[in-house]
Amino acid sequence: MRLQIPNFRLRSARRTLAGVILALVTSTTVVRAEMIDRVLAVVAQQLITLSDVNAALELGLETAPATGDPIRAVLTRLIDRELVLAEVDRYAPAEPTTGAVDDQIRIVRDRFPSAAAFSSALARSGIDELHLRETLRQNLRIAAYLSQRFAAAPDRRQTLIDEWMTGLRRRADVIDLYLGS
Amino acid sequence: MLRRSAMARAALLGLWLWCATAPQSDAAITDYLGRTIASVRLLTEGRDTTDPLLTQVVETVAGQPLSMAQVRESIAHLFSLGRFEDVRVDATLEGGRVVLRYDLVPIHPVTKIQFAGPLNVPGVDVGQLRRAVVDRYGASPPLGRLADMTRIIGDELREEGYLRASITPRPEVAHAPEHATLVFTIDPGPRTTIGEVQIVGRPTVSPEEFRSRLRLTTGAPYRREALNQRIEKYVEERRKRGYYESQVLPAVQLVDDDRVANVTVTVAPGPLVRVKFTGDPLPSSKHEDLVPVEREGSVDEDLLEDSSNRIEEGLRAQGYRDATAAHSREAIQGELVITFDVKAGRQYRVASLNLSGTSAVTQAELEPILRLHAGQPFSEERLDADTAAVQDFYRRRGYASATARPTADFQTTASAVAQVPVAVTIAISEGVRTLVDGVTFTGNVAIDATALGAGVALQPGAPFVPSQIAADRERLQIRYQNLGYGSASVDAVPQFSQDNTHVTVQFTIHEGPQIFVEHILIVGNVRTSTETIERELQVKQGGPFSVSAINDSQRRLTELGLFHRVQITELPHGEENQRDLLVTIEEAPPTTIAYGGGFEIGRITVPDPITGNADQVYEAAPRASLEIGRRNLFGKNRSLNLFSSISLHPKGSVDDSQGPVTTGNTYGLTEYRVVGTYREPRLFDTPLDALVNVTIEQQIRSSFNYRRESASAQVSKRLNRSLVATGSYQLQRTELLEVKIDESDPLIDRLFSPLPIRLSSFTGSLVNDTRDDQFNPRSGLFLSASGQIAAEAIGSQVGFVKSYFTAQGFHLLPHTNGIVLAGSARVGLAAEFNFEDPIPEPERFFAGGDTTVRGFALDSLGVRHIPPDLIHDTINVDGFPIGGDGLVIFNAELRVPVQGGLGVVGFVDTGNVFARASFIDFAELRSAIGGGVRYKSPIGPIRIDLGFKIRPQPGESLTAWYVSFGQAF
Repeated sequence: MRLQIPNFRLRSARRTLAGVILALVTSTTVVRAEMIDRVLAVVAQQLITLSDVNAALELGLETAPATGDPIRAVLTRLIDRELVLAEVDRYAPAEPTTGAVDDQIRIVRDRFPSAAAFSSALARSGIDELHLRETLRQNLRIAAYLSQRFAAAPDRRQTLIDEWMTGLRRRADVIDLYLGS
Repeated sequence: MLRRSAMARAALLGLWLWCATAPQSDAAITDYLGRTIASVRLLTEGRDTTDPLLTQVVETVAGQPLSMAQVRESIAHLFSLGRFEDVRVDATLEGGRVVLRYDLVPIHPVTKIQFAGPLNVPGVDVGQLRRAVVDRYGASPPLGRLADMTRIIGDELREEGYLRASITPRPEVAHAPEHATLVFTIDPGPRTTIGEVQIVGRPTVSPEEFRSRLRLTTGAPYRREALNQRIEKYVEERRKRGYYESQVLPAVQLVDDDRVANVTVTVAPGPLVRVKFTGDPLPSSKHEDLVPVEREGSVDEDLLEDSSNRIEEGLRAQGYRDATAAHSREAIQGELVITFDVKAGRQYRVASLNLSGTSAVTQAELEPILRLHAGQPFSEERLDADTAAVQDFYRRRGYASATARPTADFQTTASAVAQVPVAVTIAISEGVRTLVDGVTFTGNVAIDATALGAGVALQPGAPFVPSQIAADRERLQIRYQNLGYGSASVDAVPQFSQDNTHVTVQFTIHEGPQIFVEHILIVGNVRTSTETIERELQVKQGGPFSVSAINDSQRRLTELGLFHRVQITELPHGEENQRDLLVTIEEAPPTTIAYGGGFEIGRITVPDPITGNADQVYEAAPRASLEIGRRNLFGKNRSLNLFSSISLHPKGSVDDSQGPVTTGNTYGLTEYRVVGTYREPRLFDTPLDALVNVTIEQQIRSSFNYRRESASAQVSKRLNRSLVATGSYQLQRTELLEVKIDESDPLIDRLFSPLPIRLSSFTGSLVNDTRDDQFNPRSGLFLSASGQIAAEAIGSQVGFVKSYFTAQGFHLLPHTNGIVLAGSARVGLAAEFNFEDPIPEPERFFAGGDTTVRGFALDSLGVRHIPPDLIHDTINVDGFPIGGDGLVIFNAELRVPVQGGLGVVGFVDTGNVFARASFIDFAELRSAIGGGVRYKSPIGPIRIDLGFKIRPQPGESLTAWYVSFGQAF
């Protein structure tokens, strides 16, 4: 019995020590530095960062798929967007009106319950309203370009766009650094 | 006990929960945002770095609140430096403050490419494999292209017969400095050899010879591309012999696990092809151009059809509008005969050309633009062109609805005459003239309407030219782009009055966002100071993002001559209405050494050994030069240059009338020149460039030789892109060495000083240079004016004023194959302050030679009267030039490119040297005409000119020729 006490104490001490180590190890794991931004891809010298992906998701400019890696899915779409934008810049379609860009801003703003929530989402992504405005303007230019270029065959429009995109991707100079989560 | 144990467990669980739920463990970005930054660390491969180039581009600063916008921008800057393949930013909370860490993953440039494996087998050439990779991806290929490089090496090995080679790439990364060795481990596998060879068909040579020419030997390595090349060469040879339909098709079957290639070659020799022309004759020199069967190596139907059309079009352009040139194929005795049956028919000629309906424009105004005239062969193509030209003429004058319709009345008669007269009429409907009432602008905010209106060609009151709208839209767009409105677009709508006589043009401008330059990052400069580079940049931080200013900056940096490569690229940026610019430079070596050698051949004036009179002879003198330069001293674009040249002139000479005669083995006076130059751009941080020059030289001239030591200091200022003003001070000491003029000459004492002379002078000049190329201009002007004053008051032994004016123009003649008309006028005026102290000899004007008036030997031009006129003559009684105070030279030259780097010129030169500026008399100009050859050789543009004097004087030879470098002017 006497022997059992120290034995118990030893076991108890061991357990306590293991628990402390576990707690410290766990705590060490949780206090690791958090990645707040990084380069995910480079398309024709244009960077796409993690904060770009976050911004697209938070502001509802892109939607994450129900399954799979949301960052991968949005990144792929942003890469495609840059490729299309390079084409758009070459042909300079009609400039969207200020009103049209305002409408787009309003749609994004309406996704948030308050102006503060909207501002907070912008701040989290590291962009301001001017940046958002420019992004939406570019989206309108892309839309104008696509409807101008693929207006002739509305029934086959999406197929033609997909084929064209495949060609753009094949010729593109893309560095994709994202390996998935 | 159990309770204690349970308590301990509970305590541990609590500790774990506390640790796991601690605020810092589950921090979202929002937990960091706005908090004060405690520190910012930059790590490359885990090591801290404080490289100022990196720290200066990081926007997040300790002590400031964290902003994601600044994080994004910092990532963009760091990545854009081109040194990192990834940038990651981590954050942790320490005591409520943010510790930021930028993890930079450096790019490891490949410095070495190695090959491993069993490579000592025939056909595997490691050097060739390396060349294939380097040719495609450069000496430092990107690691991201490993797959492509592997494919290229595989292709090379396959070509050598190793169809199943295995290639495994592996980068071996090393640090400090970061670099990588690219290792390709190769297992070539078995080499495929040629097995059975089968020839199908009938080659024109024996099967053995055919096999031998294609090197189809059983057991030899199978090299597909080499076989194809040999087949191509064989077919080419057959086609050269007229077998244009010859075909050789290889088929390869790989057996035995690709170890053996059985080759079947199908040969179709095709018939010998002969092209024949029947009917009306065509110039034989044109046959090959009209029917390019031999050149194309083909007789396919499309080519023959094109040939028929070409013949017909050619004849129609000559007035044979009914011409036909049908072709046919016929097999005759094993030959394929292609016959073009040419029927020119009757020739139509323009009998009259009338322009009807003209009222606002006279026929005399329209005639110069017409290509068709009475008496010329009639061509419908030319008539259409004339009609379009007339219509365009009207539209340019505001007749926007003007139309012109051609009609041709063929005055055919029943009799079959050879020529048919054609009465041509161009009926013009002028319509109303439209004048611009007004030009309005909407949508413009950045530029006011007055400023926009001044920049367009359409102006109120001016005729309305529809095509001008597009040109003006482009002008406006460029203007906006130069202000940073890169996506600005302009629409234009003309609004006509009811009777179309007036129009108001409304330009609608969509300015789009203005883009600004936020940061300019300069990388790559090691020796050159950043300040030196910034000085040349025409874009500034905070200024508009102007593409033309960026291009201008790149040009200016390149023109500094300090860099091998200058690249200004736009950086991605967090803010889409802001851009950063990355200026990447690659510095050139600071020390330059140049040397050269050659022969100088020229016609010079020498005293006759018996009579002492001037004689003109050709002389060939070897010469050499050495130049050592050190540029970019102290990183400020200062430069130091030392140039030296030496020319050894033979003691004797080569008389052109008697052929080469050597009169001595030793050299005579040695010509030399040593010039040290120090250049300091932007002297004392002003827009002035300074130049200090020290020269020591010994030169041979026609009437004298001299030795001179001189020093000068010069400042210059570029007033605009083409205009440069210069001011300088010179101090020099000149000593005459050999005066070739007889001592009894009455002018000797006055003109040729026996003692060294010191000159101290100031010079000012203005140069406006708009030439497109300094050495071989095709367009532009070169205008210069300079004035020099030397006076005793500033330390000179002789006082004088001297001025020199140059005007040169270059014009590329339109509708020619690069023919350039060049003209030059040079005038020199000088006067001494004291007649007793004349301008020293080397400072006087001389003319004659390859850059002034060709046809005359170097410096031999001058005024000479019989009997001698001591006041006016600038050639003495013995025929030696003594120089003068007045100079006039005019040149006109037509430069015609011939082929490749070869060209010919024709020229007229005229000019003379006068004793005084007031004696200049155009009636006494001496002239020469001639021609020459120009050749752009690898060592520089070589020039050979032969000039003929117009009205040579007694004792003068008719011609003079020159061999030299560069253009005459």
